[in-house]
Amino acid sequence: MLDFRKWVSNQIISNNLLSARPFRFFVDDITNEEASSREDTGSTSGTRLARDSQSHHIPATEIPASQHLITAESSQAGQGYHDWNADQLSKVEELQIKFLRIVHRMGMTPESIIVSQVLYRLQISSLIRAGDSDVKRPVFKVNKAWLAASQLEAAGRPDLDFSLRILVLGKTGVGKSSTINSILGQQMLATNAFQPATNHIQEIVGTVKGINVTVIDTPGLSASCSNMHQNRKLLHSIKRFVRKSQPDVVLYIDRLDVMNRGYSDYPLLKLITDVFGSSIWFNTVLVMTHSSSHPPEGPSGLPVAYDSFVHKCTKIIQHYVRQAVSNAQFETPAVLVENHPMCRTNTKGEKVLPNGQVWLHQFLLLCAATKVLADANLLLKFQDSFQLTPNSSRPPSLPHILSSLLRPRSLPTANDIDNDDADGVLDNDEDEDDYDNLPPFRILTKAQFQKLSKVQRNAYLDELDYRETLYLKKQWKEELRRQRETMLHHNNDSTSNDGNEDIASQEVMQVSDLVIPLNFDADYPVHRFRCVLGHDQWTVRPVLDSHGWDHDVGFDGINLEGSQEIRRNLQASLFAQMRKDKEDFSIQSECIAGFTDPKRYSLLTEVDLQTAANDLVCTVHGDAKFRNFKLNTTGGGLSVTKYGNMYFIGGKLENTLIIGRRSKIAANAGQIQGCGQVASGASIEATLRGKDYPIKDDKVTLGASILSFNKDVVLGGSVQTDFKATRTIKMSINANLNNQGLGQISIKTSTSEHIEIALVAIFSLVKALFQRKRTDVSVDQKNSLGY
Amino acid sequence: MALLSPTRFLQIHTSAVPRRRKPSPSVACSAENPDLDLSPARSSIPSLPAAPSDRKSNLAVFASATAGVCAASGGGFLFHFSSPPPPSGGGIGGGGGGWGWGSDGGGFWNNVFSPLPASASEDDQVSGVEWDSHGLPANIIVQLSKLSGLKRYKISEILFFDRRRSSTVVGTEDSFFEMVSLRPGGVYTKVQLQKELESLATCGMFERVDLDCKTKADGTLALTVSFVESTWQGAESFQCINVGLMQQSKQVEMDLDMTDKEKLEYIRMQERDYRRRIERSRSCLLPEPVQNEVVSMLRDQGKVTARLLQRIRDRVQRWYHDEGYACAQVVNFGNLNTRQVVCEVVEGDITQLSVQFLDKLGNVCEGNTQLAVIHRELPNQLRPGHVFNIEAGKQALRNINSLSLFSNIEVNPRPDEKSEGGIIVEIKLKELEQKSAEVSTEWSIAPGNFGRPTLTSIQPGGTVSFEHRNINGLNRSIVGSVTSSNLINPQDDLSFKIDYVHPYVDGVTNPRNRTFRASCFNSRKLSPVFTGGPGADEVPPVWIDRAGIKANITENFTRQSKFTYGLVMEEISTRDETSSVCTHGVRALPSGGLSMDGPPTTLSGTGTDRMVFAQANITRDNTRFINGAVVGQRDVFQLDQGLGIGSNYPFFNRHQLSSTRFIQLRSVEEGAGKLPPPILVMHGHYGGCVGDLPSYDAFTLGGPYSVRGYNMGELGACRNILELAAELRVPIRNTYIYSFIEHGTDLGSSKDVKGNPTEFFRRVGHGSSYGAGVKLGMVRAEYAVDNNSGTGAIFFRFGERF
Repeated sequence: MLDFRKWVSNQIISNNLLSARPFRFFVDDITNEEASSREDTGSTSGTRLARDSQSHHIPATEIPASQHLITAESSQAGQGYHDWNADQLSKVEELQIKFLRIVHRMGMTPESIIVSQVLYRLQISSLIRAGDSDVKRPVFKVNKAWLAASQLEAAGRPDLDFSLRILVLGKTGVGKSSTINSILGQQMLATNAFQPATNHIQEIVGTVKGINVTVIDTPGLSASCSNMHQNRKLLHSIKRFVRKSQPDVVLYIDRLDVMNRGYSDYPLLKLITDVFGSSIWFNTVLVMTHSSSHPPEGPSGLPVAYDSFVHKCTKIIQHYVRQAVSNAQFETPAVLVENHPMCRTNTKGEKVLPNGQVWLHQFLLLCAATKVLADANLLLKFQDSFQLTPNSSRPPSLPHILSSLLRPRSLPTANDIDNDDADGVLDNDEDEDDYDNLPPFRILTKAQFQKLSKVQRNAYLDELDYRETLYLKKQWKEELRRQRETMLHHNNDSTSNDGNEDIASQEVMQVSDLVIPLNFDADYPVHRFRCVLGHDQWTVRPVLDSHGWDHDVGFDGINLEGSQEIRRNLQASLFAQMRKDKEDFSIQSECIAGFTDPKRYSLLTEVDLQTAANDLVCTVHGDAKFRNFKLNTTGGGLSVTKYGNMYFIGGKLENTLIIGRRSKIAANAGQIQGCGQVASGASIEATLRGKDYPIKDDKVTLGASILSFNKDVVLGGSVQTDFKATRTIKMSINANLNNQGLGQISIKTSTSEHIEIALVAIFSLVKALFQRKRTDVSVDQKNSLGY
Repeated sequence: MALLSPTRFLQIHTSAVPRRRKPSPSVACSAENPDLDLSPARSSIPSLPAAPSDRKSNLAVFASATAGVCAASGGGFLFHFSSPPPPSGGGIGGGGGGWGWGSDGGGFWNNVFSPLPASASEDDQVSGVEWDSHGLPANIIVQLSKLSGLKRYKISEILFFDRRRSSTVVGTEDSFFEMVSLRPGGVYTKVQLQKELESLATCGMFERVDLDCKTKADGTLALTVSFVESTWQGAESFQCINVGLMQQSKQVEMDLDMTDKEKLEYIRMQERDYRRRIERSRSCLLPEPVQNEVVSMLRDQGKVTARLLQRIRDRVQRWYHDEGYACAQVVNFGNLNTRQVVCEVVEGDITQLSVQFLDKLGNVCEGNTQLAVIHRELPNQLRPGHVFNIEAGKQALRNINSLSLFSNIEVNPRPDEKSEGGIIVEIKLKELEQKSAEVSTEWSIAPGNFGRPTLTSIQPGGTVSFEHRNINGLNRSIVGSVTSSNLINPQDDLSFKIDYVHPYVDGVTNPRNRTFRASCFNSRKLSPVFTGGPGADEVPPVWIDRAGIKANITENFTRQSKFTYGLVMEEISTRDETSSVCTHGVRALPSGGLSMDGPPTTLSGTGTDRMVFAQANITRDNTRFINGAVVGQRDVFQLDQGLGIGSNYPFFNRHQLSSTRFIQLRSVEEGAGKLPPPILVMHGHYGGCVGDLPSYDAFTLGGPYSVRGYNMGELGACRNILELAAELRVPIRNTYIYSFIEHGTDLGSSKDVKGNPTEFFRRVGHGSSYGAGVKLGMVRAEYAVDNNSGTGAIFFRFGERF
């Protein structure tokens, strides 16, 4: 999970580097009818870019790069596009002039940071569009526009066709209504310092500096986490309210003076994101009220400098907004506001902040900038690959898909005896000496056994062992024969009397209690897992997560297995393991349906589902096997894997040859391709089984495999052997190595007699204890040295 | 055999056992008791879900054995198999009692039960499908004696002709049909047919019976059984007696040339004998209502006919078999021709209980397990002196299986040769391997010098596990395992587990059931105390490492109610993501760093605590399943008492009480396939802490077993906790759907936990939720809405909430 997250952020970063563009446009935002989604994202990236420019970070290469991209995009668009484009460009120009007029009114110059950012961005976007369409017209100059704007302003023409529609959001008591009042410059809304004053959504219309401002005031959100439910309701009603006419700018209001490190409104921000969609933040301006309050004392005891305090607070909110939209580079502009009537004013009677800024101008400018950029976006119809939640994903590892393709598949049938092998055994079982033909044998009592000499004892045990093998073999054969008979029987009359079983299988019987892993709690909640004997074909088991929660059993997932005979020779089986919690969902399932004609061929279809990160990997696999000779089986398979929007197609061929009764050679080869990549591989495996197969599973398997992917060729070999070392000790040795020098050796010894071998464990435990003691001592020493 | 209900029984029980595993081939009962071969069906009960044993717990099926017994009893219980053929004319018609029908009927029932028909049907299997045409013209009636002894005839049709009613019935409709072992379509020889006739004639059902064959055009024969049913004087009362284990009354051969007086004397004597027999016999288990039912059957009928007796027998036997007395059998009717019908029943009294151990080859051998261990698992009903009941047998099977000492368990009732009508219950056990050990080691290879593959370390990683079960034959066991990526020089990843279980602390024969258990192990789990609130940013996890020893004694009062008390010594260390010891919880800061001022993770503040405390848990649980739904009450009280031993001398008391009521809202009939009742579940849980409380032992709110719809610990960590829940379960087909509402609160105690982790991680401290779900086997699929955020989610969970 963590890896994936890292990966996503990498993805975003790389995405940005590739196509850093001045504008972020959202296709879905325009089509989406949800609240506030019609606007786009100008403001944010505006500031961001501007910041970049401040820190001399705009690489000149960026623009050509993006231009190139867009050229490629739009070259198909055709000629009709050009005229339209020219038209749009002139509209953008108008917008620019309007904006400059506002700037003028605010008494600012185009050189101020925000203004220059906006202009810069407008210009670049116009350049891009102009370049696209080959419109032969001089790109207007900022100076010219500024001149035009000042002229218009000087002429005193009041008809600035510019309106702002502002939605105000925030917690209760942060001063939403007060802010509105101060913006509009009159006491239009009732405010109360101690109680929530606004209890319904309302629209207030006013004019500020010739701009028509419509403000939507909303009741305050509740800060406590426990009232999320109410908040959600409120937000939904706001969403309904603004659905018809969407706001240009959203103000998220919070108090500057209560900001601290223990900022706890993240759930609220998250909730807003959930309700309005993350695009709301593109149009949002953070508003910090009570901004003329004194900054708190810093660690040194002295009050922190005002600017650094403001900076810090802004950072905190911006950080959480970033987290809410889960994008690390997102930045919302912030503006400071002071509504108090006693607020300091400058000579013109305008309220100023402690740092001497006139906040109203700043505020209006930001709002206007947001709107202008949004409109420009709309006009120029930029489409961008910048998306908050990337849905393109890294291609999965092809070698893994290949190995799953090459894996031999079979239906998990009720009898685990391989049919192929069974044939041979049954056909020539005459030569075997039978259990029944053995001479009678007396089982010794313990006392008698004790009296035997060592040699006799061994002989006795060997004899017992031999008899047991024969006995098991006999039983196995009987079992096999019975199966065959029932098969024949089924062939004769397919109407089996299921009725009986149905009635009977419902008998109530309590299953004995589940064994719960050891823990130190007094609680032993077996009762949660008590059940009556199930009568369905499904086997359900819990999946134990040994690293689960403390004070919890840790049965976390569900494992489901089942198989069913649909018709004669047609079987289906399902294996699934799943987990579904509040947030995360994971599933891994295999569904196989197979048709087997016992004599000639078998067909298999498999559907695999698997969750990988947030995506579902879906594999469909078809497999066919033909027995072309008595001892030779040839097969092939095809598979299609879907991961995200990527498809991988693979095929394989396989052949199995049975030599004699005890040896088998299986070979297969396959290839998989997709997303421009190809992986191919082949493997061969020879198995030699012990004399007493299948009663004793002695065997030696030699395997070799080759895999090529991305010009890398990996050769691997493996040896596996299971044998009985003595009468009571079984060993299994497994070794593999590939040409890159990687490999593994594992040795497994199991015994039913000499449990002394477990004494190795004592060594480990003692060693671990000593080590712990040593570290304890060293820690103590450190401590004593430290103090 | 169709007549025997036990065979019906057999079908039920053999198939009752789900067929999850393939039947184990190891069944070895046929060697001793050939009768048991009648039902080769064997099966196994499924292994428990999640029980990690690969042992094939193959329980032999009961019913097969039972059927065997009943068949055997057919042979073994015969009273009068060798009695003389019935005297003519309804025998001692005027006698009005005495042996009455006993001598009259002779081997009537015995024949019915005798294995003869079975052998006949075996014969016809031998003869296969081939048959000979009769070679006669069609549609002529042939006497049985005229048939050729060499030919094998095919009977295509069997008709019954009741001479008294002069009506013909085609087989299967008539209750007599089952008397005849011949079946349409079967192939028989003349000898077989004659034998059949003989057995019919001697069975007592008929006063007269004849077999006629009619030839058919296709070479087959149509058989007509013409008969006159036996009848006796009407009766008004009914008595049922248990004649099991009774001495057989001696039969005095009736001399043919007895004088009338002698005959009368003989009859009187028999009458007297029989009366004495009735007196001596023990009373039956048959309850009054069934007896009354039979009496009303007698009254309705007026005359006692063979058919009526057959019906009575069926009724009586059905009751026994329904109650699980699988070996009960009506062996005779006595006292016919009096006002009273006496039904003689062999109920199947257990005379002996034998436990045998079998080795792998199915030979009887000495076992390791002490017999007392097995005996204490057997229900009383299975002890000598009780009537054998199949349910008790099953119970025994289950109990013995729960010892998990045996790979194969069979409980067979077997007729006792020494005392007739007695049953020997044989328990055959195959023991599992006592000891096993496994060492698996692993070395990795990586490119070393010059790219040559070399071992990364000579020290192997791997797992060592061992178990020694059934020590001293007293079911004590020691099981352990050690895993590490470096066994020789283990690091942090060492995980170990040693568990010793010592049952029957008070002695095997003492009915008090106390088990001592000591375990030494470690675990590493995620702390739910250090998690974030709803929607909050991710809190860096804190791992709680626990290692220590736990020793306790569990006293079982019933299967579910128990009292556990013991001591725990543990060392707790808290670790962060990088698995280094940490002392405080952390939270990500906006700047990207971590704040280190979180709540302390341990009591000592060093990140490692050691403590010793006493622990007790008392559970009173009388829940039971009604058609698969849980009904009853469960109360659990838990206590942890710190003893002031350990880091910072922790002295604390942590107590919890939880109480759950499963209230049945409607009474339903119990039985297989019936709908479970709707149920209301009420649940309350209170917990409190006094004294030193480390954060890892604080109660956490939220989670699948606390307040559903929230993540583990999402609501807070606190000193006092109160949870309330109600759930309504409504049955649907063979499962149920439910809706629930839950609330959990910290009772304002979050602030008393050191560092207030609830607030530090921005949690609310209380919350409620509601939702609905469906139970699919052991899986709960539910949709739960948490009221704090008002959002819902789907959850899948294994097991029950309560």
